[in-house]
Amino acid sequence: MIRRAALGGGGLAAATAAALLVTALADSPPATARENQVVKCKTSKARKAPEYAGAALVANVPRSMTSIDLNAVQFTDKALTREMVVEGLFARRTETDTVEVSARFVNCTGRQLIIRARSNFMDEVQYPVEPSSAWQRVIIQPYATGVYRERSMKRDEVKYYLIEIAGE
Amino acid sequence: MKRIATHFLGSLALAACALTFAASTPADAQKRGKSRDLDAGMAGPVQGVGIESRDLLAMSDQMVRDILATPEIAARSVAPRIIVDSKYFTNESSQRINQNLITDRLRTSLNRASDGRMVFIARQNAAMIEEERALKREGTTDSGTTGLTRAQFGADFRLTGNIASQDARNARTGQVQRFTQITFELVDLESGAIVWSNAYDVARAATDDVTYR
Repeated sequence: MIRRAALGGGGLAAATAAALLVTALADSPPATARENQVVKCKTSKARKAPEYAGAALVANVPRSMTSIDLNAVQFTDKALTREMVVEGLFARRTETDTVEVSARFVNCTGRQLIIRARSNFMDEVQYPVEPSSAWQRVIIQPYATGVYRERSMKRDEVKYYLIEIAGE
Repeated sequence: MKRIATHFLGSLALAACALTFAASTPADAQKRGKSRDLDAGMAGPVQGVGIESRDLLAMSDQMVRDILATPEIAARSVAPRIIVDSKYFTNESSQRINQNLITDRLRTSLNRASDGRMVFIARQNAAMIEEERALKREGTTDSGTTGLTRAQFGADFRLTGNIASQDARNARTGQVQRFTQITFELVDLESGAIVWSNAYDVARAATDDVTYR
């Protein structure tokens, strides 16, 4: 299950990522602010997100695994896809030319969610340029948002990233 | 009669147990006590309320990535010289912890990832370096291949930090709760300015705490 944010212009060469929100917003009119609302999620719509034509990790043996979209958030825990959605995904170059990625999640349940997240950074041929980051815990209160942020160690060679999230 | 029968059955069960143990081979015994490999980045089977391996890995990883994204350190025209050791990394928490676990990992990870953007000074080994310098200058050894320097490198920045904690215990339930805060600062060794700082927090509760050593 993947909720992705495509990066414009072929990977991170474009310094700023445009976030593509793959949630129920896809077929709804532009959002307008409404006060005093409790967040409701339609996680099934997020799970049925359309095909993404961007770069992906694919198996050596064709069709032996689901492809893993790059510049995206990868759920490694199916149950989580029914409990939260990825509201936004961002990537940018820092002042030292490393890459900073950030994802904002929404807890769609009435209980506190504890998730783990980590990031992988790859070069233009999808070779990992550094070890995966350490798992970070993100605690999201009921119907609230939680933000995960990570930075690469390497600089210009980083062209793709992948954020993995899993249950605690 | 019933009592004798119960006693007999009990003895029989004990004998069966003894026989089972006697029949087990050394390989079986080894299998029973076999250790297993763990992912140091995940919670292990022994968990308490203190700082554990997953915290050490996560915090050092975060600090390394944060330092590398700080232009005052990682984007200077001349690579700054930095001391990262545990001399000024204090532990005021209620948990025994070897601070070298944190500082050694930070230094090695930063050194590997910095690609020459920073130079790390082995100040903890100054005596060792001085010994070798003396041998070179006395002519006991030649000068090596990297040449002689007028003196050991002076440092621009030094890592300092502190581990602090606050414990709470419910006497009725025995539940323990601990908040641990680890702070990191890079201090300019000329001006005293703090050029970078960050903190890592851990808050945990458990019914039974474990002993860390």
